[in-house]
Amino acid sequence: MIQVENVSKRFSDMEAVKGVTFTVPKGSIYGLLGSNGAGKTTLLKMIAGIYRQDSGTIFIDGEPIFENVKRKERTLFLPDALYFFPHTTVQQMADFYKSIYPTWSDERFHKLKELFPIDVNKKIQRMSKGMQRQVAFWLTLSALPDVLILDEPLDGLDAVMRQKVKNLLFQDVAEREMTVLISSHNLREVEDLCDRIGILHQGTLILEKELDDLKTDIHKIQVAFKGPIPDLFLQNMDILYKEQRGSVLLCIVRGKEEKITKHIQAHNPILFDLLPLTLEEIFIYEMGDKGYAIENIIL
Amino acid sequence: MLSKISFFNRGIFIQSIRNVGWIAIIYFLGLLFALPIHILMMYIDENWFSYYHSKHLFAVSSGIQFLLMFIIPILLAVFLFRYMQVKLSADYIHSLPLKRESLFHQHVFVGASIIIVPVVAIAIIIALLQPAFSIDLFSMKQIIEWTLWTIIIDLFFYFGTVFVGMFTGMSVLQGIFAYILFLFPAGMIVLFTLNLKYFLYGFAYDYYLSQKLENLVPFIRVTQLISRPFQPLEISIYIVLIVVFYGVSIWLYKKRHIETATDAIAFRSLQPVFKYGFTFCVMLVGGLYFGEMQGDIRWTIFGYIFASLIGYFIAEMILEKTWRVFARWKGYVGYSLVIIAIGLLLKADITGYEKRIPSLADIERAYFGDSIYYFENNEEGISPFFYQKENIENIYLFHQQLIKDRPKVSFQNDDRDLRNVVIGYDLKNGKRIVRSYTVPVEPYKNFYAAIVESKEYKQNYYPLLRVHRFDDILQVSISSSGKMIQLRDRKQIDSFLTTVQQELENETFESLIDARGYQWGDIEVLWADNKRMNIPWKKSYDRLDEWLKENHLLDKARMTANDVRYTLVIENKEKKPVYEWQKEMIVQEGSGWKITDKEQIEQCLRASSWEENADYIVAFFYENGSIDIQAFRNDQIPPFILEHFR
Repeated sequence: MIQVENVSKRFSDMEAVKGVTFTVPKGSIYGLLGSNGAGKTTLLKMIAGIYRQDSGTIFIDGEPIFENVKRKERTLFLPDALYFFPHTTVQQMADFYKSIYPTWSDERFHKLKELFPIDVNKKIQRMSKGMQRQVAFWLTLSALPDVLILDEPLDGLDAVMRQKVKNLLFQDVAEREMTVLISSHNLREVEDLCDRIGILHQGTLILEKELDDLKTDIHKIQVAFKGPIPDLFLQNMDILYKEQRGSVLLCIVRGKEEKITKHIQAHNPILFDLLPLTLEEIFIYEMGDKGYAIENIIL
Repeated sequence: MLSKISFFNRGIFIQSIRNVGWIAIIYFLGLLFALPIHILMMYIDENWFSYYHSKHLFAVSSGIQFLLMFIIPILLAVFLFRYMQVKLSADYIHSLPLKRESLFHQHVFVGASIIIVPVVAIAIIIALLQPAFSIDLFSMKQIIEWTLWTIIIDLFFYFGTVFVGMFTGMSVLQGIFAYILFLFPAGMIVLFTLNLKYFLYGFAYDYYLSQKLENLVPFIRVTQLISRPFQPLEISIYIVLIVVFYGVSIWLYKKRHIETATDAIAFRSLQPVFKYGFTFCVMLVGGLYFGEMQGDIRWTIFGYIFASLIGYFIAEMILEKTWRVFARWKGYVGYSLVIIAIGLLLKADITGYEKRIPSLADIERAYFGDSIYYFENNEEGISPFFYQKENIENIYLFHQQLIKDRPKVSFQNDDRDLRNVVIGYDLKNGKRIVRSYTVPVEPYKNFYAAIVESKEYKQNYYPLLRVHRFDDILQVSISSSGKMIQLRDRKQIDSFLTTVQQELENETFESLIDARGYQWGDIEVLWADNKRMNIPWKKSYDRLDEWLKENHLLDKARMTANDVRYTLVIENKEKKPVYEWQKEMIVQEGSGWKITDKEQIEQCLRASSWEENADYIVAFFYENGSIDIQAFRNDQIPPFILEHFR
């Protein structure tokens, strides 16, 4: 479990993270979304125990992570820019991981070899970016972490490999109750992966949602009335967005489906449709509601 | 056993060895060539052996040894801690489940062994080679001493570099800062004292600079090991510094933010210290440069302003890592205000330094000379101090006058009239006061003469005046260019030296301070125990000439009119310095006046010197064919020459 409480971090000329609070329960996958420079990487590096926060607390499985060897042995961080020791082969790196992480599993390492078609005696720095990322996943997952922190992990992987990695993550979450924190600037990339999403903008967490909640709570409706739109109709609805095309009114509204249907039916519309929204659309409207234009923040 | 050491981790160990192991190999090979192989190569050369037999192991290929010493440990520390200075590796290493303490120890100990192992291996090889030689080249004690000292110096440089590495996030700066650190103490002392003299009139800067400054520069001190071994105290200081560097480094490492990799200064609070410290140092260098080159306070101030601006913006560029720093001038304004305030306070002499003069009654002894040297170094035969009340009073009065007058001195003046005056007092309470001035001679002639013509000064200045018995003297040689006589007869020696002593006792101020070669030659006194004493034979010593004439030795001791065929006097209209006149120029010069009168030639001989800015050049054409070109000082020109050329 990851508990982040009111964490702030300042760099010389700017405040990178401002009072962020969120929790990732054990065995769940949390997606941290935000544009470049939103503070994602800084936040993740603090959670991985690399940077020290200026204020606030970060607990992993109940203990502060910073300079905590016990917790860091079970917490692995996969940065967006990978680092390997100069001139090492996959096998040498594996030996290194084995000496560092007590939970390292040779068995897992060999099992994963089938998934990653890479020669263990090849020097990592001579490989392509995508292959290096595969090696990083291979090594990281072989260390059987309790908590896995991934910074833009799917960049540079092809579609097939992406799916393979996602499946591996699902598998570890399901079998070992691994906790995953994953960052991305692309919602579509992680929407099928995460249980929960948080959006970081200019160092602040502006929105946090369970994905299931999101999908059931927001709806797009199209209605048309014979005469003008009744006043009472609009007053009693939580409208995120509205647009009129001729006599057809298009709205994005928040609320339970039955309640909305009932309310609309009561005003006798001549046309009424309730349409499902893509996750992306949901974010566009949710954030528009909070005063942010989504193009500036994610996608 | 190893697993018990909590900080040991096999993976990290292997990585550091991979990273810096090559340095151990280079060091080992370097030392191998510098010492064992070199010794073997020289084995056939007996001269080499007997030469180095008496020397220290540091003397063998000392250049290579010291070069390795000054480069290897610094390179090692830079490479070893490079993981902290590169963003990717810094993030990666610190995401591993290892405490910083253990990371630090692990790296530091790998580094230390990379120094120690090659040195010890070389020491063992040298020790094993010993029985192969016919003579005992280096004693066991020497080999052990060499091993220990080499390791300690290496570790000192190494830990010093580790230490500065904690302050910066750039490997290049780590290397540069390391060398600066080792030069820093001596450099600051030099800069401070040399600059203080612009602010404090009479500040005896060379007194503070002569105090064994080279011991503070490890690079210099180490090269002296060949002839000057380490004292236990020095070695202890180096060891203490190693421990301090080590302790502070680990403390800083724990405090350091990992994200400061690639920052010039890793601690925010130290950034202004660096910025203004750097500005200040560059300012001192600039002021000193222009101050010394031009000798004018306006140029010095220009140097301060110019250099501090450069220093300030360079520091900003280093900190911000961009060229575009010129909008950040506000800090410079604040800095200048503080510096101007300090400068004014110094100039205002708030501590009363410039006017401080002890009361006469407190002075135990006084020093007066043109250099600080004898004040500190009591060389055999020279006691530089005045004890007689009257003389102390004269020095005191001179000093008082200088404080009052503050004579203006500039390099544009005829600088040959300027002399250094160093005045020092040892007080009855054990304190010392030293001042140093540059003084024009002419206006202070009377003050000078009172001191310099005193018996005490002359006894200090001429050791011969302290010799009262001439029994042990073996011989006295009197030599001048091309001629020499030796006195061995006891009676002759007695009477000659008595004459010399009279001459010295009566010598006037003008003759005493003359340094322009009004000198026939040199008198050397040799004792039975091989002790020697030299006295200049000045042209002003008339009694000596008289004595030599009476003893029919004058012709043998120096060139006289009898040796000169004729003399040519030339008007030096272009004021060409005497050393630029060549024989051909003299001969071609048509306007010369040829003198053949013996009396006049003798007068010319007695009046000529190596005066640079002379109105008349005089060339002596000797009977033996040689030519001597000299000049007359303008107030010493024989009247008949002035008469002729008028």
